[in-house]
Amino acid sequence: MRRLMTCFLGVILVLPLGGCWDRTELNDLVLITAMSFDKESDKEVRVTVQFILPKSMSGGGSAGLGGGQTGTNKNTLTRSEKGIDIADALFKLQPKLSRKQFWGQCKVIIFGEELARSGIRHHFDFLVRHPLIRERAYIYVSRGLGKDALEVFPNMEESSARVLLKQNQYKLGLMVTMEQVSQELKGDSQAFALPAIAILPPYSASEPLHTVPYIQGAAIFKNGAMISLISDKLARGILWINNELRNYTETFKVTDSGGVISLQSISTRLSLKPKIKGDQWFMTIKARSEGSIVQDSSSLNPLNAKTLARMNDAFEKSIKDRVQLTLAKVQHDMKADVFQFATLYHRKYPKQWAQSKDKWDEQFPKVKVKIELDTHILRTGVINFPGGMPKEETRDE
Amino acid sequence: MGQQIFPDLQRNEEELQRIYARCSDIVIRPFIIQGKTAMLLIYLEGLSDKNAIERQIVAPLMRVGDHPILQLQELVDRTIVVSQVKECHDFQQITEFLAEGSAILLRDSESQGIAFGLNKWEMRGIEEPTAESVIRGSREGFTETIKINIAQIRRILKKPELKIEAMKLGSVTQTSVAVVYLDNLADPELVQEVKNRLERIDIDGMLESGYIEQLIEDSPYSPFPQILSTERPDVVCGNLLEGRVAIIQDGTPFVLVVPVTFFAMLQAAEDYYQRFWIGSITRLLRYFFVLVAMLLPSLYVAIQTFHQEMIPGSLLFSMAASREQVPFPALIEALLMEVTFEALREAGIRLPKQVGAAVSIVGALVIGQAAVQAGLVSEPMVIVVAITGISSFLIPRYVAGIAIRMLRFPFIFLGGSLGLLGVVMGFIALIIHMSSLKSFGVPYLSTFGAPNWNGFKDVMVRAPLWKMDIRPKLRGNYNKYRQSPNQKPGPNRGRKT
Repeated sequence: MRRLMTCFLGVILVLPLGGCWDRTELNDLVLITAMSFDKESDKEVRVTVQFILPKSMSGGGSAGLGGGQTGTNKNTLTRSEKGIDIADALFKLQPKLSRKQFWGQCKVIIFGEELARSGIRHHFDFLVRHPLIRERAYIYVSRGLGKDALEVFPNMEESSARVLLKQNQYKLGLMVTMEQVSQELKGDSQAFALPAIAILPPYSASEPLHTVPYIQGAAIFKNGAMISLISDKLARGILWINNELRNYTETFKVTDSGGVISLQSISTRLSLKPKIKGDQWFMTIKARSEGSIVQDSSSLNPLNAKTLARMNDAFEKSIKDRVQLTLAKVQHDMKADVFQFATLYHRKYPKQWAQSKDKWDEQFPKVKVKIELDTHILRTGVINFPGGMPKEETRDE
Repeated sequence: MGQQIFPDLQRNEEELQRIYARCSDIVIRPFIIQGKTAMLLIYLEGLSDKNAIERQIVAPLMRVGDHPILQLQELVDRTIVVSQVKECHDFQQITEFLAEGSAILLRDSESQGIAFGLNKWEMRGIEEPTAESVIRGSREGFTETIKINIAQIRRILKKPELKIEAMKLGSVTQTSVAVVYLDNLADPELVQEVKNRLERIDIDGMLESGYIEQLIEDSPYSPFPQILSTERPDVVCGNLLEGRVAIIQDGTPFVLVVPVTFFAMLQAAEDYYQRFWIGSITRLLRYFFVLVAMLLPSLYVAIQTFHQEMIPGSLLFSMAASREQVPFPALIEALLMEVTFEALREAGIRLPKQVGAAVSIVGALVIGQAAVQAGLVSEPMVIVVAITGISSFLIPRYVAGIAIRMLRFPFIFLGGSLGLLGVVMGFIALIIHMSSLKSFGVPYLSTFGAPNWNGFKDVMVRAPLWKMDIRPKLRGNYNKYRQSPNQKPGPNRGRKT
């Protein structure tokens, strides 16, 4: 019993030692919300971090200080430093900060355009190697300098990083996490796409830096370096093929003469089926899309079965057109397999894949993509006839 | 003191005067009946019913005719109007009977006395139990007199199978203690074990059932109580009906029930009187808040100090903002607030009722608010402490509540020094300890620890009354069924065709 007590006491006295001495209090940490990497020169990289200023966040106030002004406040601050690589830059940045760098809340990582073009492989190593960087952080490429996106102050959210994160919820732009990128950098196709961000021009009434960054288009990467920036339309094509596009509104012409119809997609079910017949490689995209009409500016009456069928066909054609456009650019022009077809072939046809592995650059453009699309217009909104005109003027053709 | 009663009344009187020298409450009254027979009446003032003694003992005796000369036993059998009659042979017994409030009658030339059970003393009336009030249910609680408590139990469990075995504990206090159980339901080994442990007690004073509890429990060093104490007769009877044993002690309204599991500490009598939805939901609420009461401050400290990445962004920024003004680290802040809260609580108990309530509320709110404004603690901390405080009020048994409140502090230390890892380790250690506890042979975490599938009907939720047809298994053989099947109510169910 005596010995038990001594052991117990020994353990008890030792316990408070472990952990206490390297404990960092919340207000000894700098809460980094976003990071960006820009090319400073051929040999140097500039790292900019954006962090929250807690004092200005106390709206609701202890002792009534501050009085809760959100919106026009600048809640974040950026600091920047250059170095030979990222780790070096961060190390040089630390003495300029009064608190310890804390990555636990950093969910936005931006590569500047120039840096992206010169290749991100080596910089990416830092991100995955560092133990405290969040693996689920989102990676973006900025049009222009990355630090510009960090140095804007949104009116509604607390930081520009938060704005970018919240834009993810629409799923209208690519949403790529660090772990995905790390897999894709090692993956079969050696190509991937990242969302590209631009800064919204500020309204004339607001102060110059009170604006937001937003996702515009995508950046295509091949072999770890960016080869091109593409537009929103093509980016959505990529998303569609990857079955990540949700809640988009498709606007298309039904007849050559008439006006347009806007259709909001309700659901899309998509599957990719690779197939190899002899020397020809096929990829079948089997999809079923459903939509409901949001705006009918064509004077056509959707209640008419034939008209509806024509609208449906036009819907189908518009999707197919867009996908073909995307494929033409990405598959044939850039020869970048951002859709990860390579992985699908690898899984299904390992032997043939092994043979074509090193020649994927040539093989990929030769893949014939067949689109089997089944579209349905489910609803016409809450009214049927075109709403803005008397019934007599609606047409059926 | 084992001195036998002398046949000579004079010597008896002298002996009694000697024993009770300088006791101003003893009454020794010699009188003569039947012309020349000397009698001696002794009782303790304040304990005995003076009027009854005079009316029922002295008066009839005084009126007995001179012939024939009756012996003491005949006198008692024929003239005295008292129902509870006992014999006593030595002075030891005389002092014991007198202490109970009995009146002793001695007759000249007889070495045996008679004790009459005519006790009456001032006592508190039956009131609602202060620590266990209910919205629905009886509001009668036990009192300090063991006879009344036994009567209350007997009123509920009317069959003769309810056995009440009396004994006296405490060398100076000679307190009456009764072991109560239902003969057909309680395991005889359990009853014997209870009696063994009680008989082992050898101290001078038994002032409260807490003394018994602390002297018979299985693991005295554990923070958790292994014996239930309650002021409510219906709680005791409910437990007796499940085969448990109750221990009643004179001088306190708190009756002990053994054996008991941890989950019994988290149950209130009212769970059973309300319909099963309310009973179940209240229980689930209670279980959740028990965990909150024990772990919330430590989790808060741990996450804020070591795991800041776990907190969602906006919450973290608000917390960081409110921490800007605070000079202390989270651990110190938490301890400061918790200790203050406990102090206020204790203070509230000791104060007179009206002032007590005001102090607790005013103290907590105002001091909390003032501390925040002075920049000593942060607002989230005040909220955490308030929620913890309220959660601990949800625990129905005060003793279990204390245990859980006490355990909060080691957890706060663990959280502040070793983070979540520390809290989890502490929790595992706690569960290990609780699993090893036994209450009179029944594992403390029964139903979860020693899975008893039927028991689940009564632990996390409260199954409808008509589904609880099987008694909980404590130990040994037991009477399984307590209801006949088909107890589910419905229209036309009672109709006899």
